[in-house]
Amino acid sequence: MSAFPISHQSSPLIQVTDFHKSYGETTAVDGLSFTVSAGQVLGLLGPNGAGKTTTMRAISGIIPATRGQLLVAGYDVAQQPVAAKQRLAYVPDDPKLFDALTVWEHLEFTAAAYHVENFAPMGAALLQQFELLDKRDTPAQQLSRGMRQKAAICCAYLHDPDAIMFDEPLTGLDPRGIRTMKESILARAQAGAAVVVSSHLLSLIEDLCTHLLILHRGQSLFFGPAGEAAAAFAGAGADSSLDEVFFRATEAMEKTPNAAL
Amino acid sequence: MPLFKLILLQGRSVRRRMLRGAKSVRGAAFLLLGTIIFSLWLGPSLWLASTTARTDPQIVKNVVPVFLLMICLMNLVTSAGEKAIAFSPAEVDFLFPAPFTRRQLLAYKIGKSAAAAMFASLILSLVLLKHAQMWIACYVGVILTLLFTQFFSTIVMLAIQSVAERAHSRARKLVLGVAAAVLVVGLMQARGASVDAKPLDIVNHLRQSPVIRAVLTPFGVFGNTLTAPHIYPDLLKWGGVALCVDAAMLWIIFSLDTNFMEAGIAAGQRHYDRVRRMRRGGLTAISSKSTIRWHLPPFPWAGGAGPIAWRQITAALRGSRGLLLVLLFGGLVVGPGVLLGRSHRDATGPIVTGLAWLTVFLSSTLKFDFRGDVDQMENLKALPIRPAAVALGQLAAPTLLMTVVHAVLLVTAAILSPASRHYLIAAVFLSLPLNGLLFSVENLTFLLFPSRMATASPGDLQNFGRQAVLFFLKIVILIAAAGIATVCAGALWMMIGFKLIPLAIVAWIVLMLEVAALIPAMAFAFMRYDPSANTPT
Repeated sequence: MSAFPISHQSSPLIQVTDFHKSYGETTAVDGLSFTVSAGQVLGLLGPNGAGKTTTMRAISGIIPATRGQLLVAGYDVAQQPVAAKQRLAYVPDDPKLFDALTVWEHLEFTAAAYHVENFAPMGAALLQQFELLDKRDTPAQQLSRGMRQKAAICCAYLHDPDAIMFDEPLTGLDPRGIRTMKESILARAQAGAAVVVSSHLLSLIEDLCTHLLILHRGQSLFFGPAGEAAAAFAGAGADSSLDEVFFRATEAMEKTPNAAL
Repeated sequence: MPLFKLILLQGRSVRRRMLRGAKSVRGAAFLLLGTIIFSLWLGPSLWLASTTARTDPQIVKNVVPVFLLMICLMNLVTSAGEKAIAFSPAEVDFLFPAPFTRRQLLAYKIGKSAAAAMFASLILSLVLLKHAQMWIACYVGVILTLLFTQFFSTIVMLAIQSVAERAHSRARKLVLGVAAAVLVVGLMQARGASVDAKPLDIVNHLRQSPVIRAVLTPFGVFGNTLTAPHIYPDLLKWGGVALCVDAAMLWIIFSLDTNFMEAGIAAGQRHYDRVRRMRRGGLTAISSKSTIRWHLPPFPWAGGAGPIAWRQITAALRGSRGLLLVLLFGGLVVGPGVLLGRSHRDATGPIVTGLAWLTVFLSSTLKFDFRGDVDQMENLKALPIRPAAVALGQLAAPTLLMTVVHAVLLVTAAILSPASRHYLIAAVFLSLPLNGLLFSVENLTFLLFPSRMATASPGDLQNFGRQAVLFFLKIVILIAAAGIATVCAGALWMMIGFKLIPLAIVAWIVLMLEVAALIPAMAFAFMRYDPSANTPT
């Protein structure tokens, strides 16, 4: 498992404490706690329905927590939502754009929303980086799935957020787009951002993440440095691959449902 | 303010979308045609307003409050007002994680609705001009009325978020009970309206009740604004009061400060899903939650048409709530004719006319065919089935559904209207080929000129013109096809005299032959349909 060199160890930029989320009688997330500091890339792993997206949506203030505290750059998402969101970017799985707005108008709006002064050079550079410059004036409804994803990522990067969360960031991207995306995540972390990546692509998590959070049925099975994940599960050797660790973790949970770590 | 900027950008995008295609000759022609048809539609209202006497202001003042009360009650007891706090998926993805307060998001939603209301009021004020004393009063009155209904919906939705869902359900029952009690008391106090009274007479009698008059009083200011004869003092006075009512509603909205975001996402998602289902299956796809308790047995292969028809009919029947609504709506349309028939007068004309209107409306909503499969065209083309069989299979579901709807309504009407019985039974007999013809033409024109439902922006005159051309084309084909059947039946009439059964059989055979002739045309159009180029956005 490769580990990205952590150059910015400081107080956590994302801090989740005893987070619960319920829908009626269904518990989506049950007492989750973790932190992500500057320079760290946290890989969020778990089977479908584990609570990954719910957790990210709650941190980004889209849905309220049933219980618990969520902090972004020290700001409570429930108490100081505007300050927290100002420092955060969230790229959902299959981001929805405003159909009739052009790519550039999305950047224009994002710049206004996040108070980015003189956004044009930064916006152009991002479009260049993600090969969208020629689609600058194209309405979003005419973009392919991958291009929409790239446009959403450009918007997310525009205000230089302290914390960034990606839900399945590589879906729909072409090989060059995948490489650019990976490089950009590492560069953002190196520049001091706290990054959360949720994905079912274990190779992506393995390539990028310094830390892991394995979720199953809304509970944390493991949270810690990626290098320690193998040791946490009996039977997985010290140099086990991530998919071996993942399957051991989730299978252990299947056998002893109350044995969350 | 960034959210205001977003509203401006969206407004700009609507204008851009409207003008986008106008640069081509075809687009410009559609735009011109759309403008002409729109003017022709609006013209009579303006002409009537300028040449005939305006509606008695007292009538408008009586009707508007009742109308508003009904809208408010509808919002309370149904989820119709849900749209007031519904956010689109793009708004959820972009605005909810952005640094905006809940109140700012609410202000954005209200601002967007208000902008749309101002635009809609421009057109509505021209349509309703005959019922007002002057245009500016009509415009101001319509805006303030629309804002009132929107604010009311928002308050209801926010209040629902403030109380538990169960409490809301109880409260809703309580409101219904109170509304029913008020209505009963009002009716008792307003005894005297005869059974045959017109709706307006009933409204007038209801207004005589002190209880109903008291309930309607807050709504009265909007009627007074609409009918204000002078800017000073009437419009300033009543418009000012109406503005104060709206301002008070706005104050309540921002005072509630409910955490509506989760409900806004859910409402938006439901709305988005509903639009998607409407695109696929039209009206019968309204129901979102259907428990699947049954499976339709597979149809015979029939060259591949069987499985295609099976899929569409299964989908249609699973939207059974929608089908019941269709029947209910049909009952309302055919009802007046049936009432006429009960008095032993021939009611064939009114019943068939009502049914024809229903058919025109339903033909664009029962989309269990190529039109609803706009996102499945690649899959359909990849199937190892001959195009003609695909076309036949696609035609089956809407044709059979519409025929069943016709049969239920016509047989019921025939039972209740003895004087028209024979003609109504003949209409049941002809319903199948007529519906086959109708949906063949609908699908053929769709495959040749594909378009999606619910993609046009309000005021999109170019799309309006395009739809008008397609509608005209369909009507021409239908009139020609039905004309041939009529001529054949007419020729037989000349030979053997008026005998209903043989005439109906000849018309039936001719219509069926026409449907059979249109199936290869549909198959050809399906073959040349290129999903990569023709699938509309």
